[in-house]
Amino acid sequence: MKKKAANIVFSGLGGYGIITASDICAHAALYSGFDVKQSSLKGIAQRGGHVISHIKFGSKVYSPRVEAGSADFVVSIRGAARGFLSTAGVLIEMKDAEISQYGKSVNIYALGILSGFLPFPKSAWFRAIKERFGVPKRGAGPDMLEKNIRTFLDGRDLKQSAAR
Amino acid sequence: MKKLLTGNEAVARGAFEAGVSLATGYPGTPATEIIEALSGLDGVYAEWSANEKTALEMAAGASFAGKRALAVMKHVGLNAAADPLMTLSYTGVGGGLVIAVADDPGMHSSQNEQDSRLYARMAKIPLLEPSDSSEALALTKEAFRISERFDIPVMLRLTASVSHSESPVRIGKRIATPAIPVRKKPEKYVMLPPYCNLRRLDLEKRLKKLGEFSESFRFNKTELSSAKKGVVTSGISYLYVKDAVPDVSVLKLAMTHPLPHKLIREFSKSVKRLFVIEELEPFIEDAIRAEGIKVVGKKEGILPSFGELAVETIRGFMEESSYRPDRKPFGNGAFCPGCPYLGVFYHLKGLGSYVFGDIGCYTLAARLFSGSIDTTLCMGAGVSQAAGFLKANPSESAVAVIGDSTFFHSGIPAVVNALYHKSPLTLIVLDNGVTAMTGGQPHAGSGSSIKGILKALGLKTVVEVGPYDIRKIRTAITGALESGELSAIIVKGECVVKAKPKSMTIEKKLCNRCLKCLGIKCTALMEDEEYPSISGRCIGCSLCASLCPKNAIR
Repeated sequence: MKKKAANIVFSGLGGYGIITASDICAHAALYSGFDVKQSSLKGIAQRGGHVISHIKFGSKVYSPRVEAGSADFVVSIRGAARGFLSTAGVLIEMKDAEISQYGKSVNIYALGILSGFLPFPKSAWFRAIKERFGVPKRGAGPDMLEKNIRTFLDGRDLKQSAAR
Repeated sequence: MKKLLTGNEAVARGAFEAGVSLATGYPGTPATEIIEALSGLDGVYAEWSANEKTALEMAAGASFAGKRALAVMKHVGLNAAADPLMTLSYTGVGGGLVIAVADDPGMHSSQNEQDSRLYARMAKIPLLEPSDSSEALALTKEAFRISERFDIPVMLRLTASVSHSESPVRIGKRIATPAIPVRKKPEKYVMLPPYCNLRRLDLEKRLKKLGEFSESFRFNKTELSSAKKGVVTSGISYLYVKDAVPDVSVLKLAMTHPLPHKLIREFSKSVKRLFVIEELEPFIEDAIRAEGIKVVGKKEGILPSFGELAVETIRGFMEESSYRPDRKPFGNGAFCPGCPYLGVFYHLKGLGSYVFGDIGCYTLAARLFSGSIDTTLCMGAGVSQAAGFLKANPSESAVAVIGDSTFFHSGIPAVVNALYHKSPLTLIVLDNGVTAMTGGQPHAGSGSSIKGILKALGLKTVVEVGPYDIRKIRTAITGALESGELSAIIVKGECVVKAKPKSMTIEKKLCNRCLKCLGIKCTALMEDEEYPSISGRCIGCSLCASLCPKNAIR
């Protein structure tokens, strides 16, 4: 059964789009009618090192921070924050092969896998992805959007076939 | 319409909806994104000012003009702006004047974790503390109303977790700025003794009215439950309390100066045991104790007066166990691969001089190259510290390293001082034309010639060098140190934070495994097995190649 509230941690090395993936996920939660909070590190803490972002969604969310040992999901690209994972939590860790296959889009692929576990309708995900990649001024455009949707669905399909 | 905004974006949105005309600030984590979100909006003049004092004075000028104005800074920036702040409460305002200050408990990106709320008490101004984005938006609008109604600047105090966490807000419309005429009123705005003494008395009257207002301020909320315990809290701590102990009664204060003393007393009577939970200083707690109300808080030694609070800390505290949280040092942050300043610190580590650093990402060099930075205190401090060091210890040599944004912020007076008082320090200005650490914002000196400024001040020797010519950098530094007078080196190089990867490789056939390349401490270089290698994060600056005796890096 898909949970009606969850804590998610995105973690990894700078440059792999951890914040972008987290941001899309938070918007998908909002567009699915949930209360949602997201927090990530900025400033010098962000320089050249580890990037981490927390998301909590549910009918009502108070603190924006996921406590150690309380994440239902940890999504990681080169740098897992296992300490956050709860005992029944799911670790979605990108393997080297996946990183080289999907390159810069590996974050969206990981998001696709995560999406299979979350109660957000596909339309909410698409809207969030479109807002991030469908805006030409952000250096993206129709090609970029289409490519990311495909990558997202690759991940989503993988999760579904694994569940079977 | 509901939107997901960070606390900072919500403050910007709130100011916009409140009809703000001018917004000024100096970049600093965790406050930076407020000005960024306001720039380019219709009807708003937003700027990065030279420093926070300038920013607040600009806002004071706009307020005098009858327009709503916002000044934005991080907690340590408020130290620079403290001078105008302390007297602005006397003069009061024309148009609403709001100072948004973001504190950094836990020092994720700061040199200290001072609690800015103490400034509000000292300056005698009202203080609002939002706990999430929706409140940040609402309280920003409220702050402008309070400012105009009580003729006083208002402080909106955020913390990093509020500034940077995102939550849904309801977007509203921008109101037309209230038309307040510009008035020449020296008895209100010229603070010389006859006038300021009268304004001081008037301030007491305004504070008294604000105290009454605080009692019925609609954002101060009492949530009663059947539990015997009750918590007084504010800001982000409120959210942690709700997660940690959902069953206790809560008095959530949005206005924490002046405090609603009657409301607090009433709440204290409804619970058996009263706790105060707030980050950093026991600001609310001390005030409640002073009223003779019994509370459990920081004095008991369990709830720390440093760092960020967390749900588990609060749970332990409320259970009154002996639980004490560990404080883990914050270990993040590294130089970007190919940073144009790596070469400077590579040399500084072995020179035997004392190096006085400043505020900027390059401060990370202190951990990377042992001995390359000996002090870092505050914006602009390095130059004066170096000069002071040399007066006290003339037989040594001293280098001051400062970034261009910091140079314009508060470094120039220090250079003027060192020059007039004949300090033979070596000044190194790291010039990338932007405020790099906070994301590459332009600053008030962007585009100006630092060489021209230093020459005009009277420095005889000012050398400009490129960032990746490691030999020239060394020659320039040793030359300056030997000159026996104040001389400057400007290292000009673009910030690489947004640079495109352009990988170089190490040819194993040529490499003799001397590992000299690793000495540059570039994060794109790895010591894999037998040979060093270069990762995909390389930007092709070739600093490492210039250290290779075998010419194996291409």
